[in-house]
Amino acid sequence: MKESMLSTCEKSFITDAIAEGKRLDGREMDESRVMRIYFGTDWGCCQVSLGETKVLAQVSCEVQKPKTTRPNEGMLFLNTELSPMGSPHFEVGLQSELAVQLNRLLEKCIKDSRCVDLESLCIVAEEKVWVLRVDINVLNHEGNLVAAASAAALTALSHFRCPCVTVTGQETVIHDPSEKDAVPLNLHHYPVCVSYAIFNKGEHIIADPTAIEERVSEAQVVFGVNAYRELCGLHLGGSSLTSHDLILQCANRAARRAAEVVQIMKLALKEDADARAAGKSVGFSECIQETKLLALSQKQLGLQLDTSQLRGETLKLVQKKNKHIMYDEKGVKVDSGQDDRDEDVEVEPSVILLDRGSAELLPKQKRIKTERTVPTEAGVGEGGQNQWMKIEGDNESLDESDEVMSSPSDVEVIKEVSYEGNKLVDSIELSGDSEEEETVVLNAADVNMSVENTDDSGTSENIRNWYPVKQW
Amino acid sequence: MEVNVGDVVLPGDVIQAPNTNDKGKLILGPGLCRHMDEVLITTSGVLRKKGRNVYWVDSHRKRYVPVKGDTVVGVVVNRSGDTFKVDIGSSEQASLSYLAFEGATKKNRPDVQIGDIVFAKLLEASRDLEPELVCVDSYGKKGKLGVLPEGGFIFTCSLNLIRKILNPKCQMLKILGSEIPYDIAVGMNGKLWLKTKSIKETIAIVNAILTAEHLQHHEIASLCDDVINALKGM
Repeated sequence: MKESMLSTCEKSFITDAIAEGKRLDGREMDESRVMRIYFGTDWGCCQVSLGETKVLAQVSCEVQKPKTTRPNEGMLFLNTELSPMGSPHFEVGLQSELAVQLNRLLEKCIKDSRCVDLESLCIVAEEKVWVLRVDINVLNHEGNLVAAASAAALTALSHFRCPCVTVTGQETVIHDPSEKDAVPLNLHHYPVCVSYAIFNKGEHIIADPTAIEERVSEAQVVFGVNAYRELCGLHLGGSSLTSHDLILQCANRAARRAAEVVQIMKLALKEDADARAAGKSVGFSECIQETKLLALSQKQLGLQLDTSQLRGETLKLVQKKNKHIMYDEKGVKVDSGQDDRDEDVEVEPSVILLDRGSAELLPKQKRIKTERTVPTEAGVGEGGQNQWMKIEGDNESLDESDEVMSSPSDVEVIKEVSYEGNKLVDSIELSGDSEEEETVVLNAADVNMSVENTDDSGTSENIRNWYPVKQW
Repeated sequence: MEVNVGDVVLPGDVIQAPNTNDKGKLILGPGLCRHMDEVLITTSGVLRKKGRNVYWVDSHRKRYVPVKGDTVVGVVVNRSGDTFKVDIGSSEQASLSYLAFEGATKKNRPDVQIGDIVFAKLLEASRDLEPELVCVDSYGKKGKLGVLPEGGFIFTCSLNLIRKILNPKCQMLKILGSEIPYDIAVGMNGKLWLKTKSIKETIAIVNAILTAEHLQHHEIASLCDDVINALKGM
């Protein structure tokens, strides 16, 4: 299926909105979508979602003969797959231009920056080495594939465990993970891709573009940067390249964003390692938020109802309409009328059809109660709680199930990859040298004109509200 | 499996023998078909019934299947000979003859450019033929149909949401309209075209409509209030 054409009104609307400093999904110009990382049960399997863009990566390994030119190094292959599942216009089998570009960008960023220690993958020089293969599948395309794919590939690589090998004389034994623990790979640094879309001949730049913004934009620039502010790749697609200042400024922002992403990755990896160490069940099935109708979706309301005085407005509305639960400014729940609510719930007639154990919708009245308990900044439009419940068939179990539904603690079951903005650059070990031969280190001193980023403390206030509209 | 009204149904399910003895007439809506003496379900969703003998399946889907007589919003993607090709979100592009506009003749061609948005009615929609659109009614008048004015924004949502906001019980468009003047064209194919005076109003209404997908009717009213208040506060 061909990609549907963009109408003239969409193009002009997006460019006009960007010129006014507004985006369709209500983000700031420099704001990225929320990145979440989920791990599968296998080692080296992870899914990264960036807003609605979802990418799955899986690492596998096998023993092969090394290249004669590099007899003591393992090999790394990256393979990007764009299936029609991601977007209807992706063709099966055929490597599209986008897929080739994406693959090459990732290779440049991950392979050519030598972030994986390939020498440690050598088993017997000139005879046997480990060959790593990273399969990247795009599950949903909603813009900025390269950022999601690079994060997925890196997370999968650092999550992966290679089977343990012992070499005794002529004999090589590859141990099963059950008899000898598999060993993680050596990663020198984490080069992540950060992409920007350029509008109006470089006058406006937006971070983390969505699919429609990518299509309307004049050019896209992708930076491969690691947490040490080293540039590992740069790609400019499209037309407008007006000044070198623009690239330098973007690179600075990209470096900051890269630190954020690496932070998110490390946090997710740590949480997963903790969960595995504690013997909890892990895997994609654990990521599904059962109390939400759209379990893995994270569409956000474009109009930011939770800013400034609006929060007060909505708070008043919520209070006026159902005086059950109040939220204070930080979203911490303050119960004010727990008893009232319980009474209300009991008063509601519960009409539930019960037949042959089929799934049935719960009565509407009750669901609203529970939905309103979700704080407004997160709850609007996420579909509220799941209405599909298995009902056993006896009336007594009904009350129980209702209570389970309405308890507000159930709203956020899933572990979120949260990240605190005020300790990004500080907490990354800048002292460590990476074994990179050709590196470009971007210091703030190199860029004289960078105004507010001379202090590298990187507080969240600093990150917000850069890109004053006409500065470029 | 035999199913009743109100059940969640899957393709292949059979409706539990409806009372065929009273006049024996049964009206089957979308998602149902007759096979021999049985009524089979062809889509997944919730089985609904209205009146004595009208049945249909309420399904949440995003892909539009053209239905004769539907009004749709589409993008003109190509001009070939004497027809325009219009993308209405179905598996095949619909054709729109340049004579199917009000007052159009062979000499007096309508002004339609590639990339324009049209609001049209489906004249022909069958499995084996390309869907055909017209921008006039049977009297040759255009009514509300035709090329939509410049500007505005077109976006896509699920078909269920379209039916929801067009439902007379849903006050959404009315409430929003009472505070924010706007033009809207709602196509049954899940495409909406919207034009307001400012970009922020357009973004607000687009998001309000998309958010309404999983809300109940009275929740929508409070959502509309929130959106209006938010706009005033900006």
